[in-house]
This record gives sequence, structure tokens and C-alpha cells, in this order.
Amino acid sequence: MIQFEGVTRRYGETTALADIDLTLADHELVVLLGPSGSGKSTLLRLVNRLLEPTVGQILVDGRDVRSYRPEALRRTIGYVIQNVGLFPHWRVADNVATVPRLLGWDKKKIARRVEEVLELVGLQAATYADRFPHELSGGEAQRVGVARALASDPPILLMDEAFSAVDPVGRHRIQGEFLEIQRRLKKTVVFVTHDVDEAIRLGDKIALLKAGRLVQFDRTEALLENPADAFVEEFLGRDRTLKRLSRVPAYTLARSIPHPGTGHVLPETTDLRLVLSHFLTEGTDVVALKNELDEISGWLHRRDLESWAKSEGSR
Amino acid sequence: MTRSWNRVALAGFGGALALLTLFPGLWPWALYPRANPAELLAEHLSLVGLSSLVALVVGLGVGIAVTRPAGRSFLPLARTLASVGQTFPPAAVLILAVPALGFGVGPAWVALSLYGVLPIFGNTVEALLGVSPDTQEAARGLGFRPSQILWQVELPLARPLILAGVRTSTVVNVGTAAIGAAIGAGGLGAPILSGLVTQNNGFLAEGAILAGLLALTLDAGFGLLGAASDSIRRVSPPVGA
Repeated sequence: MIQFEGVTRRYGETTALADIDLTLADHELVVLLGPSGSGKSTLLRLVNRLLEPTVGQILVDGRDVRSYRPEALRRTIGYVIQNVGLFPHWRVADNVATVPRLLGWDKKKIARRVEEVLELVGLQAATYADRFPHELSGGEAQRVGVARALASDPPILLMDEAFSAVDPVGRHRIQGEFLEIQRRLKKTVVFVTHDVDEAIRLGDKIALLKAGRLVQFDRTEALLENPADAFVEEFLGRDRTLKRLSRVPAYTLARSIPHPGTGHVLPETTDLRLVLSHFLTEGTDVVALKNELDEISGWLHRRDLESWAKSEGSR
Repeated sequence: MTRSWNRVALAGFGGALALLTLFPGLWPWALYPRANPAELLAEHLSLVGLSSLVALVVGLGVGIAVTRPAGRSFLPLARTLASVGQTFPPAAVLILAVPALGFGVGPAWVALSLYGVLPIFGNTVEALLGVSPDTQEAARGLGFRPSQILWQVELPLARPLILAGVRTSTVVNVGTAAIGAAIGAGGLGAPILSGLVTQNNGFLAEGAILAGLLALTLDAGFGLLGAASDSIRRVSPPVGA
């Protein structure tokens, strides 16, 4: 658990963060979202003491972070930054091994872990371990960055605009892969971004910041349904309904079989936004859903989406 | 310059230098009588070697110091001093050392050391400032101590440029040290000076040829070292750091 208690951070005359109270639960991915200058990166960097608060305190698992030596604290918290910052003079394997090496793990254990964690982020150890950072694409480098942060299996992961430097197609893919990893590992993740779609796609919860103040902190669905004020509403965009649809997998609304015959079949994990898109482009009103075993598991009518959007919206 | 060229140059110039110092009989003319070529070369090398060593320690040390958070405020001053210092001709530095320190080997050592600091200091600072902020941020965030960042990240990345500074500094010092004879430092400048005074072109050529060969040999040697350090960059980080 990460707790910010009455945290204020000033730079001379400017106040970057004003009186933030925020509690992040274990195993949740919380996105710190906001326009540039909102203080989201500052908030993140307080956790591993890259910055210190002017007022207030930060507790990790109930313990004030100031009671740790900064280096010791940082070695227990994974950290990924926008431009990755791989060490250009070390091979991928050595980059990934950084924190285990700082922690003094023995060589064999490190080698095994490096291989494991590279495979985890979707990089074949045999292909990538001996490459140098300049031999990687942007997406590959970012995966190595994630692997490096996960190498010592830290319970907490801090990610600062971690995927923002990757091109849009690659970004979407790496987001999906990261969600898969997070489903398995259940880390406590603090993820900073200015990208609303990324926040909605990744966040269990979103903390929206504006000019150093916490405007709203809630589950992502709840935030989309009930924006606290006009700023939140505007920042999330007018297509909030579509964004909400994107968070819901089709099987949650599925009607059970038997279903009316249709040639249109989608995986049941498809999100409702894609289902709607399918309705619109294919000119159909009905899709069947299939499970992982390719068996038809249910079906959806276009009206199901409309009534869901209405009922949820009016709540 | 390629690695193979440096190899050939090192063998060629170094070989010529060795032959001409070890076998004075190879010279077709009468040599400077007060010391044989080997003694002159030894004097010259000790002058250059010691002053370059001092320059390395000071240049590297000050360069590292002014790029640390605690020393940052001295960075502009140090850079200004270094660039002003570089505009002094080497001869002027030597001559100016005389009123301050008198004649002899001592002041020559001091003057050469001071002058040799500049390229090493300059390159060290540029190289350390050139290490990407992202790399440093990542190192800090992953839990490196400041000293670990310096030794494991900054210096390895800065090494090629620092080595280039040492190369320049040392090679230039070979030439400057020859002028050192004017203030009584001996070395290969002694026959040159004597040749100029007595209009003996043989003495003059003896000193000039040997000093030239020495500079070329060292240059090729550092070239090889630089290429080697590029491949050193390709090795793993220290174990158990």
C-alpha cells in the first residue's frame, strides 16, 4: 500500500503539488492522469525519493519512505521511464540484471532470472540477451526497460509515461502485453500518463490531477460514469460513453444460447466498443460470441449495448 | 584513423625511434656531443610522462568534481579558465614559469603539467556532461549510489572521449617539452637549441627528428589504446558491485 498524506511540493514560488491525500491499494494499477504541469510525475517521483515532499509524508506499507536509505528503497521498487534510459554500454542481459546485481544475487540466479523476465516481456532470451541497446527498436527497448524494472520481482512498479515514446501501433500492442503481465503478476503499479485512452485502457483506478491538485480519484468505470466536475468531463472527452464501452468485455452482457443464426462471430473477450464498431461497419444487429475453445458461448444484440449505455449513463 | 594504420604507424615510427636512439652510429652526421640520443630521449620521456600523469590526475579529478552536484557551481568558472588557458601558446606558458619558479626541470614539469591539464579537463567535462540524462535518471531510479553511477555508468561511457583528450595532451606535450630546453629542462630540445645557437643543422635535425618520431609513436599508441577501449566498452559490468 502506498499512502500520500498531506503532501505538498513546492519549487521556490511555484507549487507543484498541493495537499495531496491519496491511498493506493496493493495489486492495483493506478494511473496518475493529467495535463502537463499537473504534478503527476512529481507525485510519482516522491514514492522512490527521487524527490522529497516539502510538506507531508509518503508511506509504503505503512512505513515512512524517509526511514529508508534512498538507494535501498529504490532497489525494492521497479522504475520505468519514458525514454527507457537503457545503459548503452551494457548488453540487454546486463541491463536487465542491473538491480539483482546491485542486490548482490549470485550469478546463476541472475542468469536464470534474466532469461525468465525477458521471456515474460515477450523477448526471446536467446535472440536478445547479447544485443546492445542501439540494436533494438523503440518497442523492444521499452520491453527491455520493463524487464529491467521487473527483474528483482519488486512488489511496486513506477512507470513514468512508460509507453509514450513508442509509436501508436507499437504502443497499443505493448499496452495489451503489459495488461497481460499485470493480470498474472498483480503488482502495485503507479502509472503516469497524459493520454486519456491509455489511462482508461490500463487503469483499475484513475487519479486525475490538475495544477497540483487531486481532482478526482475513483475506479475507472466510476470516473467515466460520474465525472466530478466540468474539468474532468472535458478532460475525459465527449465520447465518454464509447470509452466506457471499451472497458467492458462482451461476455458480461451476453445472452445465453440458443441464439438466432448469424454469420458474425467474435471472441467473447472483445470489448463492447469493438462490438459496436462491428455492428456499424457490418450492418448487422446480432453477433455470436465464442470462448477460447472456439465454442459459441452466447450472443449479443445491438439493443443490448444501447440499453446498457442508457442505464449505466443514468445511474 | 583505422586500427591497422595505427599498428603500422606504431611499429614503423616506434622502430625508427628505437634504432636511432640505440644505435647512434646509424646517423650519417656528427651528433650533439653533450649527451647521447638515448639519454636525451629518456630525459624527454620522463618530462612528458610525469607531466602527463599529473595532467591526467588533475584534469580527470577536476573534471569529475565540477560535474558532481556539489561542484556544479564551479563548472562555468572552470570551463572559462580552461578555454582561456588553451589560448596561451605553450612557449609562453614555459617562459612565464621562469619568473615564478626559476630555471630547470622543476618549472618545466609544472608548466607542462598545467598546459597538459586543459585538453584532458575539457574532454572529461564534455564527455561526462554528454551522458544522457535518461541514462542517469534510470541509474538513480534503479538504486545506484552516486559513486556507482560514476564508476559503472558515467566513466565507462566517457572513456573514449577522455582518452582522446589524454592523447592530444600527451602528443602536444612532446612538442612543448622540446621548448623546455630553453629554460634548462634538457631533453630533446637541448640539441635543437644548441643547433640553433651554433648554427649546427645536424644537432637541430637530431633533436627534431627524434621528437617528431616520439610524438608520432605516442599518437599511434594512443590510437590503438582508443580502439581497444572501444571494445572494452563491450564487456559486462563488474560482478558483485
